[in-house]
Amino acid sequence: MKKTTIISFLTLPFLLTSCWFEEEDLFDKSASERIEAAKAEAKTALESAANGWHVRYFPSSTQEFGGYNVLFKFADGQVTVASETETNPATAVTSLYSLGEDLGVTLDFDTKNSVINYFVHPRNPDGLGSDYKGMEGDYKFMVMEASPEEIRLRGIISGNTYLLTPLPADADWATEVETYQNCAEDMEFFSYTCEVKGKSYPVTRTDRRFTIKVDDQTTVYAPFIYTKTGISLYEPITIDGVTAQDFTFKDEYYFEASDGADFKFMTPEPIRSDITFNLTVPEEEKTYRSVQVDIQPSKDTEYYYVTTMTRTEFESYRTDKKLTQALLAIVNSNIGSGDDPEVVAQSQLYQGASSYTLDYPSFYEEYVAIAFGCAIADGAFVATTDVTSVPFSVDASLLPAETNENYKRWLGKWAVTSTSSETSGTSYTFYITIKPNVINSNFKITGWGYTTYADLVNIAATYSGGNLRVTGNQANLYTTSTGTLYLANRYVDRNDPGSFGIVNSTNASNLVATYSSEEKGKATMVGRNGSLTSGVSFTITCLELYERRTGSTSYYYLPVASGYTSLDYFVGPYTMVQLVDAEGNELSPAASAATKQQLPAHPALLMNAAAPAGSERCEAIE
Amino acid sequence: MKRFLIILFSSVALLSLAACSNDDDLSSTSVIRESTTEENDFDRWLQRNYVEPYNIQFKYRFEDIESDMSYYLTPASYEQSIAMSKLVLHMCLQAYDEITGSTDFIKAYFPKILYLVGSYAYKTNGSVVLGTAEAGAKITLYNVDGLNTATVNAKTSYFKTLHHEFGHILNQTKPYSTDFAEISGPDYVQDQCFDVYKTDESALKDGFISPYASKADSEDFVELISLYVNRTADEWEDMLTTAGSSGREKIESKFEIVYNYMKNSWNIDLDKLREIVLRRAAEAPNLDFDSLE
Repeated sequence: MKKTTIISFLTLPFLLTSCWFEEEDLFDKSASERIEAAKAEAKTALESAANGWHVRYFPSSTQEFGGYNVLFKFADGQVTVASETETNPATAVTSLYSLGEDLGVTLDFDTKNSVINYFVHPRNPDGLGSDYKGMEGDYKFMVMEASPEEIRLRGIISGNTYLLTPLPADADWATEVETYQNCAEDMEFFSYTCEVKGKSYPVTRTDRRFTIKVDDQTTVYAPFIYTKTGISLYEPITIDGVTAQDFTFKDEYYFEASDGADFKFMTPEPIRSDITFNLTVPEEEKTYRSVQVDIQPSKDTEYYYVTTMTRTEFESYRTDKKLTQALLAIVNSNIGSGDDPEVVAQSQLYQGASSYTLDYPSFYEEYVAIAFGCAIADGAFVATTDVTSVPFSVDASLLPAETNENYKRWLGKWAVTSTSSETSGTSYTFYITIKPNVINSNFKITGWGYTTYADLVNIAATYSGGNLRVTGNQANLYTTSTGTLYLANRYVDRNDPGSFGIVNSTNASNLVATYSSEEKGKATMVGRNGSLTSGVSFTITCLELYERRTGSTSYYYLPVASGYTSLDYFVGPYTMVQLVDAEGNELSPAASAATKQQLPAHPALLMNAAAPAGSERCEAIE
Repeated sequence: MKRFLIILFSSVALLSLAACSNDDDLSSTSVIRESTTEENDFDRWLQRNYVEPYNIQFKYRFEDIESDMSYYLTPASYEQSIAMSKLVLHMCLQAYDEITGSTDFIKAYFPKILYLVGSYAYKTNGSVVLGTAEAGAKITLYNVDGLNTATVNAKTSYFKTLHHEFGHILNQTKPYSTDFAEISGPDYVQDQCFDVYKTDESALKDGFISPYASKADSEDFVELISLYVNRTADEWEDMLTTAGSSGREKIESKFEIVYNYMKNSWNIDLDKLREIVLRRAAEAPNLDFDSLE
């Protein structure tokens, strides 16, 4: 019996273990049901913002490029994305998204979205980042927190936090994006310092990241994003015990911690002046070929800048700041190292009452005369005032009474079409404006040729026997930073039709345009035949602009306007069709529409146009 | 005593059984869940045209798990993916259907996953990957962004890649004669193939139909298949002419083995397959790339 008892006791633990400790489910749903519920919750939150979300998009695990303002909208399994990186602020691209799971719910942009591709493509279109990683942005995110008020994502590639806040229901996407683009433009500077508790630290900016040198051992990186009121750092930073993240742009030149902390990012303080300008364009000084602008400044002691430009170009600058920066960039590019800016100012700027003359205005443009104050800061010119402007125009009523009808009928806008071209055999069209110079004797022409300088240059043409004649060897047509522009004659060897070159010839009839005897507004322009000192028989094929440089006998190539191919020079004869007559009447409306914005109209727009490398020599002499 | 013990044990056994037998009801809810991703028209079209006839998953949505994590990649576009699905079907899968007389061949042997990537895979040295195949189970097509349906032809890289990778799978299923490897035996250069042969011409002269064919006999074999079916007889002859007499001799004796292998092991006449592939490639630019009926 004792044995039995022992045995039965031994069995007891078995009984106990089998069922006494029943496992309670910690959750009332299974793991898979819970992740499903979390996904459904995330989807509801993502789609809750009817007008989408503003996203602080910081690509790259080091945030080396800083942050970008991006918009997301989720609906019906699709995501629509817009971004300040798009050229057109109205661009919004829709692609598919899905919710997946990793260690939690993930948000996956799983078909191509060209807007997001800017940040994630292994080759960024603007060359940011390496050529096999790009900007290392994210298209897959872990959903960290999701509510209708705020969504926090973490990028799978970068590990960065992406903060989404709902856009107001009435916010227009294109306007939002454009606002952010403008903010970035207006609040970008070239040099910065950081000021904390009265102490100044050197700062460099690369893209949208500050590198702050605190001391020899300590460097603080501060990636930032432009906001509508200033800048916001990716995360708060602390220098000398002071912490800050959001900054408000103040007085157009510094950023101050928005919470009042003693922490600022400074840029050079702009020099301001109260100088004012009285600009007038007196009618009595206006002629058919020149306009005088009189400037009366309120002070005689300060420099100022004066110019004229077409209204179209004037209005293409969004702010006075953009316009003055673009114009002064030209002046500043003329200051070489070691130059005294005062000396440059004497030759390029104005002081005291003066007048400015625009020669050969077009009858078909509206113009604006502008002036603004200037000062020298750190060896360069800066604007000290806003822009004062006055509009004016000239028209055919200013032509003198003795203007002969056959001379006048050349005046206006023409489309000039080549027969062929040197390398591709293409028939090209370029657009010129023929303007009066000495009445019944000669003309000025703008828009000539295929370079980006065509609209900046007035070339000379003569009027003889009813014909319009143009010739090359026209020098000093325009001054560039490296030389002057020159109109050269190009020819073909008549016995070797593939052989072209530049010929040194001043014959007035190199290209002769003859007005059609049958049809109004039609003409043909033919190159002259001749022979070189070397014995070659030539025909003039075109006249084109080159740059000449001091001490060089070469003809340097200029940048080519869009629609043309470098070195694929025009080959005549040419047909000419008049688009607009002297009075401004449109003769060929469809064609005149095509002339709009062929070429940039002001030097400021040429700054980035790269010229093809190279030059050629003129070996041919007539 | 003995009896008592037996009773005791059996009661224990009974108790234990009784106590826990009702704990193990299977939940009526499956842990395998339907995806929360909404099924679209393209998904339904793929179900009808890829899954049902071939049991192939055409994965156009980007998934980390399918992607090679050593590259920075982007998703393929929805529209380009639709075009690609139609082209792969017309130019590759149905070409084999046509020559074998049914969908069974592709269903049995073609990799079960086709995965699309929008960008190229850029290596750190700047070179790019066009396509990869993994263990006979999956083919990845890169640069779907670059697909231009208007200019698609038999030699367009994506389709050449498919024939190439499928060739590997056929070889892995039924091996080819070891005689093949002996023809260019000592000439294979492994990973140096693109360093040794910078041009197609130099590879041809050494008896390789392409620089990549010089990597190893297995690559040589499938390069011969994929380049043969994508070229007209004249284009093939031009390549052999470029190869010169010694190159031609090697390529021709290797191709004879390839041709006989396809004929005897798979009952596929490569001349006939070529005819079908070229005809279908010529038809390709005119496919309806919009309809998902």
